[in-house]
Amino acid sequence: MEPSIRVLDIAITFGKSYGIGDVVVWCSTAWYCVMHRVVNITGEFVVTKGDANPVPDPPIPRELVRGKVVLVIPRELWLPPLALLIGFIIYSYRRALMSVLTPALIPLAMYVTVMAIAIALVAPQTGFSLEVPELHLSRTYVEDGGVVCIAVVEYLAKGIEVEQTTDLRVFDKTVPPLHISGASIAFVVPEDIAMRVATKGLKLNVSVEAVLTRKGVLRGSYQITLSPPKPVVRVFNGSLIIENTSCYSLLFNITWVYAELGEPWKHINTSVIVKGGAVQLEPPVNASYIYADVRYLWMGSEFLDRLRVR
Amino acid sequence: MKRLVLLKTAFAVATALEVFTAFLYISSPLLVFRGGVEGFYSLYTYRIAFLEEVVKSDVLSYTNSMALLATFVYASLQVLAIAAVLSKRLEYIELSFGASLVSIPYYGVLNGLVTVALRELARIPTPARVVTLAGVIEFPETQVVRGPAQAIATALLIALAVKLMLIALVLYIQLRAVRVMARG
Repeated sequence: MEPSIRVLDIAITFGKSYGIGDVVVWCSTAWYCVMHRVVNITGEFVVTKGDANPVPDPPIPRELVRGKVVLVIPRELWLPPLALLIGFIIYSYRRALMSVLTPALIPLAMYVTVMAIAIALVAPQTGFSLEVPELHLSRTYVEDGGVVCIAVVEYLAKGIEVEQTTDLRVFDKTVPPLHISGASIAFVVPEDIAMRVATKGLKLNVSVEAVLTRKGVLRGSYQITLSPPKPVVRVFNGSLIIENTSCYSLLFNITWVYAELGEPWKHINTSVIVKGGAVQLEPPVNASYIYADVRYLWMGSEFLDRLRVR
Repeated sequence: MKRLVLLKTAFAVATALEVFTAFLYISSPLLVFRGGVEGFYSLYTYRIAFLEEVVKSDVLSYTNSMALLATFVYASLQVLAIAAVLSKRLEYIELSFGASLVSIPYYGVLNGLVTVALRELARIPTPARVVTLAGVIEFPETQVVRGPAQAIATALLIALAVKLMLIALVLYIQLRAVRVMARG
C-alpha cells in the first residue's frame, strides 16, 4: 500500500462499512491478511488493489473483509518513543542484564558464528531448471507401397515419447496401429477410405489418442494431403490396359461400344477396380469396330477417355 | 530448594523433548506431492520426481545440509544446557540460559530454510495441459499436501516456550537465592 501506508506504519481498522476508494483489510486464512484499497464492489464480491501494484487482486467474497482502515499511525510517531523506552529499560537494568547476559551470550555467539560460516561457505549454486516435455508435429505423409497405403505421423519429441495408442481413427473409423516408435505412429489406411479420398480428392483426417511416457496423454487431429499418381488408360495389341500404380483403389466404368460394318452400334457396360498395378482387359465381343469409353473419378474430377480398341 | 530441583528436572525433560521434536521436525515431510510431481520434501532429505524423472536441486540439498548442521549444533548446545542446569555449580545457570536461548535463532534458521526450500519448490512447473501442433498433451495435475512437519513445528514451538519459561524461572529463583545469600 506504499506510499499511503508504509512498512512499520500501524493501521487501525474499525467497522465493516466501506466503499470504493477505502482501504480495507481482508484475510484469506487466519494467518494471511492483505491491506489494499477497494477498487470495485460487485454483488457479494470485492476487488482490491495495492496502490503500488499494477494490477488488481482477484475478486474476494465480501465476508473475508475484516474491516476498514480508519487510522494510520506513521512509523515516525511510534518508533522513536518505543526505541527510547527500550533504551531506558536497558539502561536502568544494565548491571543485572550484563551479569546474566554476558555468560549467556557465549553459546548464542557460538551458534550464530557456526551457522554464519556454514551459510557463507556452502552457498547453493543452481536451483531447478526443469522443462516441461513437449511433442511437436513434425510431418504427416502416406507411404505408397502399391498394395497398401501406410500413413505415418511423425513427431518432434522433447523429453517425451509415444508409448501406445489408445484410439486411432481415420474418418471416424478405428484402425490398429502398424508400428509405433517413440516419435512416430504408422498405420494402414483402410482400402475403402483410400478409395474414397483418391476419388473425391479429400484430405485424410486422422485423430490420435496416445499414451505418452512421463504420464502424458496426447490428443491430436491431423490432415494428410494425398497426391496419388494419375491413372493411365491405353490400348495395346487390341486390349485395353488400365494402369493405376498407386495404393489407392480406383473404380473404372468401361462402356464397350462395338459394331459390325453396316450394323448399328451396341453397348456393353463393365467396371473394374484397379490398384497397385495394371489390368489388361480384352473386349467382351469380337467385332470389327470396338471403342472403349473409360470413365473414372480421380481427385474430385471425372475423366473420360475414349479409345479405339479395333 | 526442592522446588528449584523440580524446576531444573522439568527444564531438562522439556529440553530433551524439544531436541527430540526438533529431530522429528526435520525428518518429517514438510510437503508431499502427488500426481504429475511425485515425492516429498523434508528438511532432512527430499525425493522429487517431475513427470517420472527424479530431479535434484542444489538449493534443496543446501537446505537439507544446513538444517542438519543447525540441528546438530543446536542439539549439542542443549546437551550443554541440560548438563549446566543439573550441575551443582550455581554460576553455570547463566550458561544454561544462554544455550537455551539458542533455540530462538535455531527456530529462525529452520524457518528461513523452509522459506528458501518453498521458493525453490515453487519453481517446479506443474503443467496440466500443453498445446502444440501435435495436439493437446495432458499431464496429471499435481496435488500438494502438507506433511506432518507443520504440526510438529507447533509442538516444537510449545516445547521451546515451556523450556524458556522454566529456565527463566530457574534463573530468577537462583539469582534471588544468590542475592539473599550475599546479603547475609
